[in-house]
Amino acid sequence: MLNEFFGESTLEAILLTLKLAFITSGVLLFIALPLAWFLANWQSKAKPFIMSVLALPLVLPPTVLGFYLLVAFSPQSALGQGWQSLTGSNLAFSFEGLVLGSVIYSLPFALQPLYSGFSQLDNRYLDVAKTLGFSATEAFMKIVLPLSKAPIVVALGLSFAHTIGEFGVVLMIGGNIPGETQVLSIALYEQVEALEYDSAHNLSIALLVFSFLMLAALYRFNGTTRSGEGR
Amino acid sequence: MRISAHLPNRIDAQITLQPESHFTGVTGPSGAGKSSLFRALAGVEKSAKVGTPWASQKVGIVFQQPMLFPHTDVRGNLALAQRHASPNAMPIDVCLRACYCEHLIDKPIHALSGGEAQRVAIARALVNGPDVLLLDESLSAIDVFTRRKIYQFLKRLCGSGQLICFVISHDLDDLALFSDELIYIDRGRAELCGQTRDVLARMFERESFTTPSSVLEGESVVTQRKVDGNNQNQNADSNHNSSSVSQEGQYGTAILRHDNSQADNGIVRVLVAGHEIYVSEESVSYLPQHGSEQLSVRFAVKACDVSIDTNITDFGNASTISILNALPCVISSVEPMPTPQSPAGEGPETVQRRQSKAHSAKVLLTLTVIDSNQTLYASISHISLTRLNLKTGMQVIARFKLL
Repeated sequence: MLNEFFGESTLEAILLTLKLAFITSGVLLFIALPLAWFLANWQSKAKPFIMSVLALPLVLPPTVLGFYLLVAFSPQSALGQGWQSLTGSNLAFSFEGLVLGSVIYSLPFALQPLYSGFSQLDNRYLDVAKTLGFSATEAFMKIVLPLSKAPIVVALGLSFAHTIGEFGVVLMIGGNIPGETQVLSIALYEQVEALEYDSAHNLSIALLVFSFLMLAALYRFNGTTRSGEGR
Repeated sequence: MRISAHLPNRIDAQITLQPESHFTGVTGPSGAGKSSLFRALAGVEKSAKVGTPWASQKVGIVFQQPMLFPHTDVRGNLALAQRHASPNAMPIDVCLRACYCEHLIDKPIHALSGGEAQRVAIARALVNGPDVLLLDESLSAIDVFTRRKIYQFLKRLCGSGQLICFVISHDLDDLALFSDELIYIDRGRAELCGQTRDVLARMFERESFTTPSSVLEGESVVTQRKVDGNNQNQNADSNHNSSSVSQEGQYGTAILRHDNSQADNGIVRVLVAGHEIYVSEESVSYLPQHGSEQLSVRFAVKACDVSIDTNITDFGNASTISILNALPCVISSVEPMPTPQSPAGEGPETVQRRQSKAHSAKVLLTLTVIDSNQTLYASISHISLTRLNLKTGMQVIARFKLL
C-alpha cells in the first residue's frame, strides 16, 4: 500500500531517511549527554565561545556547513584521507559521511534541551546523593538521568525530527545517490524538478503530518512531565 | 571535640564541644552562615576547609527542603539510600516507624505534604546509617507533637552512642529541650558555644527575645501502675509484632520506650527540687541515664508563662487557681524587658543597640529555684512589680501552667 502511495524510489528514500535519523539521534544522545553535563557544570571564561561554536549549526546556512564538511571529507583532507585508509572508501557522498554531517548539523538540537535541563537541576539532589554514598558516575546514572527524562526525550525527538527534515547539508555532502544518500527532502526536490506534483503532494503531506505529530507528542510529553513534577 | 570550618566570605567558625555532647543545637539569625556551616561539614562545599573529629565517618545531611528524588516514590528513595548503607544502619521499617511515615511508603513524592516529605527525608538519611547527622531546619514543617517525638528518638540514638546529631533550628524551645550543647552562629562565626542553658542566657543578653526560656531538669515520677502498664503495653506490642521487634533489636527498644514513655494520659510528672511539676509528654526530653533507676528529664519554661505569687505560706494549697505547677524561688535579679526588635534590626551592633533601645512595660525576673540552684525566668508587668513590691533576694512562688 505504501509502495503504491509513494512509489518504490520514494519508499527507499523514506527508509534511508528513517535509518539516518535513528542512527543520528542515537549517536547524538551518546555524545550530547556527557557534553551537556560537562558544559552545565563547567565554569570558564571560554565557555561562551565553546557554546557559540556548538550552536553555530542553528544559525549557519546549511550550505555553508555543507561546504566545509565537503572540504573536510575530501580525500585531500586529513579526515577524508584517514577515513579512506581505514575503510578503503570515500567519506564524501557516502551514507557514513551523511551520518557524520547529520550529527554535526543536529548537535545543537540535542545539546540545548539537555544543557537547559542539566543547568536547571537542583544541585542539592547531587549533594544528598553524595552524602548517601553515591559516586559521581552513579549519581549521574541513578539520579541525574531519571530526573532529566523530559529533556532527554525532547533532545531525542528534536534531533530525530531535524534529521528527517535535513536538506542543504545532505545535498552538499551526500549528493543524490538513490539508496545511498538520497533522503526524503532531496527526493521531494527531485520530484518537483521533474514536475511530478502528485508524488510531491503525497510526500509533502506525509512529512507535514509526521512533523506535526512528532512536535505534538513532544509538547504533550513535556507538559505531562512538568505538571507531574509540580504537584 | 574541636570543629573548624572555613568557607571564603561565608563562614569562619571554630567550635569546641564536650566529648559527651552527642546532640548539638545550632541557631542564629537568618543569613548568619548556619547552612553554609552544615554544607561544609557534610563535605558538599568544594572550597571549604574543614576540621572535624569524624573525618573517616559517614556524615548525612537533611535540608529544610527535603530533596526527595521525585522520579521514584518513598520506597524508591529509601532503597536508593540503602544502596550504600553502613553495616550497622537501621532497617527501613524501624526508620519509617521512628519518623512516623510507615503509611507513606508507597506514596509518590509529589503527593506528600511538606511535613510528610521532611519526615521521609529524615527516614531516608537514617536508612543510610550515618555516624553524624546534620539536620538543617529539617523538621520545620512537622507538627510539634510529631517533631518532638522524632527529636526524642534521635536523642535516644545519640544517648546510646549510635549517632552524633547537629540540629539547626529557630525554635529555641526545641533546642533547649534536646541539645546537650548549643552553638550560636552570627556573621559566619560561632559567637557562642557551650551548655544550652548558658548559651540561651547569653543569647538573651546579646539579642532581644520577648520571651526567654529557662531550662529545668528533674526526675520523672513513675507510678507502679504506669510501670506495669508500660510492661503490658510492651508485651502486647512484642506479641503483636514479635519478629519485627526482635529484628529491630536495640532500635526497636528505643522506639518502644519513646512511644510508651513515662507519660500518664499524656502528662509526665517531674520532680524538681522535691516538688512535683506536671509537663505534657511532648514538652519533655529524656536525658541519658547513668545507672539511676529514675529517668532524668528536661523541659523548657517560657518567661511569659510564669506568674509570681508572694503568698509563700500557701504553697501547696493553691486550690482556688487552675495553675498546676509551683516552685519556691528567690528573685536573683530584676531587669527591664527590652522591646522586641525587628528581624532587620539583627546585626553587628546588637549589644550597643541593646543598651540604648527603649524598654517595654514589662520586667524580667531571674529566679533561682530553692534547693536546686536552677534558673527560672518570669516576665511580668511593671504594674505587678510595683504592686507586689518585688525585690531582689525576696522569696516567691513561681507558678506556671501545664507545659
